[in-house]
Amino acid sequence: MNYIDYLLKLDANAEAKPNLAPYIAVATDVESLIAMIDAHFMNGAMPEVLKQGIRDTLATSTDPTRRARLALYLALTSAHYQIQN
Amino acid sequence: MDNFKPQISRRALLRRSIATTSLGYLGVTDALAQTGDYKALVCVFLFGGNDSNNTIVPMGAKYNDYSKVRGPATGLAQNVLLPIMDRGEGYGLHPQLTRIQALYNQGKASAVLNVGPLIRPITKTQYNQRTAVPVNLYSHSDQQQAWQQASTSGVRSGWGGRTADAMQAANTGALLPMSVSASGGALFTIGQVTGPAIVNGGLGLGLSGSDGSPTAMARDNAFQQVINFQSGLTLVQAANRTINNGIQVGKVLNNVLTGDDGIATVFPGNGLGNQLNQVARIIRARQTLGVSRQIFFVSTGGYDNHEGLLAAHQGLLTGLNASISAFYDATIELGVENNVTTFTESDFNRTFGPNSNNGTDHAWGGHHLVMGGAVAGGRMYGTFPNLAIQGPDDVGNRGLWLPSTSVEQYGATMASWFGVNSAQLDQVLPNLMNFSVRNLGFMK
Repeated sequence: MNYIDYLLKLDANAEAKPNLAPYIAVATDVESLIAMIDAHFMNGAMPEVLKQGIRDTLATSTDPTRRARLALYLALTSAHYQIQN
Repeated sequence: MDNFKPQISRRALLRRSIATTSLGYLGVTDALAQTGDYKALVCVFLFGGNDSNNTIVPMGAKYNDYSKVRGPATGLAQNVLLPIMDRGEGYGLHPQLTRIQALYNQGKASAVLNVGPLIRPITKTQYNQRTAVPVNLYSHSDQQQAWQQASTSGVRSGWGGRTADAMQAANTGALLPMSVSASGGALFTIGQVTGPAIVNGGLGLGLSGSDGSPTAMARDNAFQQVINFQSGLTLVQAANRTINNGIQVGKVLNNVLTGDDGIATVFPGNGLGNQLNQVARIIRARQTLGVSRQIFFVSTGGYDNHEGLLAAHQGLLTGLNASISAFYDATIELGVENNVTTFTESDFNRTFGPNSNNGTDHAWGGHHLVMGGAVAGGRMYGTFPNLAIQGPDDVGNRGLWLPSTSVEQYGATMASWFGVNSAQLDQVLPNLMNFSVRNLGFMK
């Protein structure tokens, strides 16, 4: 979990840096962001509880990069993703 | 990459996630309050090779055997030594080891003489014939490993970790692994089936990014909602339970390691003092953590004094004495002074004969300190080497003592006190069977 958090912070010294641009591009629209993550990682099967958690969390930030990071963090650290997908 | 989707496998992520929060080793809930039967072993590793020839010095008639080789540039004057008696013979501790002397004279500290890695007992003749000689003697990395591993079977585990393997039933339901290193990854603490917790000055356990900001709190709330959601998917729910347990244990440990330590004893601000403070904090929380047996590893370095031995060693042993003294006081404060045994290990002893830089070089057998209320102290154990250069105990020409006691015997005596039974001892210390004396008797 903490490694995912670390990766998503895009630290300059990180061993791997994911390209979050596609997610950041749609991050102002929470439903579009959820749909993209759902399609990329969960084959469209993201449970509603996770979607709602992302909506609640993203309501606290307007910064697209931060929104993308938060949404990806919640999705990728969920057991739904790690076990089911 | 175009986007982030397929670059990290799900299993790799899960593995990293587990490793990051140490969930793999953190057991389940329900801390058991176990008060009566608590025991802890604390290994203080002196990295670099402690010069134990200047840690314990013979006094009286044998002092001349010492002083004629060490001389004033690398030897200690007899009148500064701290006298102790052993089986009718007088010895002196290094002048900085004031607390060790006091504990020794109270019967709560001891020393085991001329200990080193051995496969089986060997004579000097056998050494010269290269019979059953441990590999890579005199090499720091190899001998650090040999002391921690206490096995020649090539297993990548340490005798502390294997002791934890043998005793793991004693900590059923504990929130923390039996082995804990306050000094990074240490072979000593790694078992064949159990692993250590590594604490590092309270380095944040738990979820990173939980900084208390509204966004972070919202994230963590959402995370918790997802964890708590009863999806009906067995594996998902099992994973969620494990994650939840790990997070809760992380919170407990963060509090233990970084909050008010609740210990009046003041530890010195050096590295070893800080590590032993962490150990004391964890011991204090033993009931919350549900542990009845613990094995700790702490360390300090700088002992590789190839030059300027006297001044360097004085500084090192000042710090060692202060740290161990504070730790012993803390065990008294916590009411566990008879339950906690602290002992030293080191790469090797140093040459008795000095080099041309007023330092000493890598050697083999050396003396080690054992402290605690369960130690049958006030005397030493094992045999002090004959200090003659090229004499019966010197396998070189500068006083490289052939150990008369093995690391296996040293470890087995403490592991046996800890609760490891005789049959298990041969698993913990595979070479022990090669030694007729399986218990050196220095533990009550």
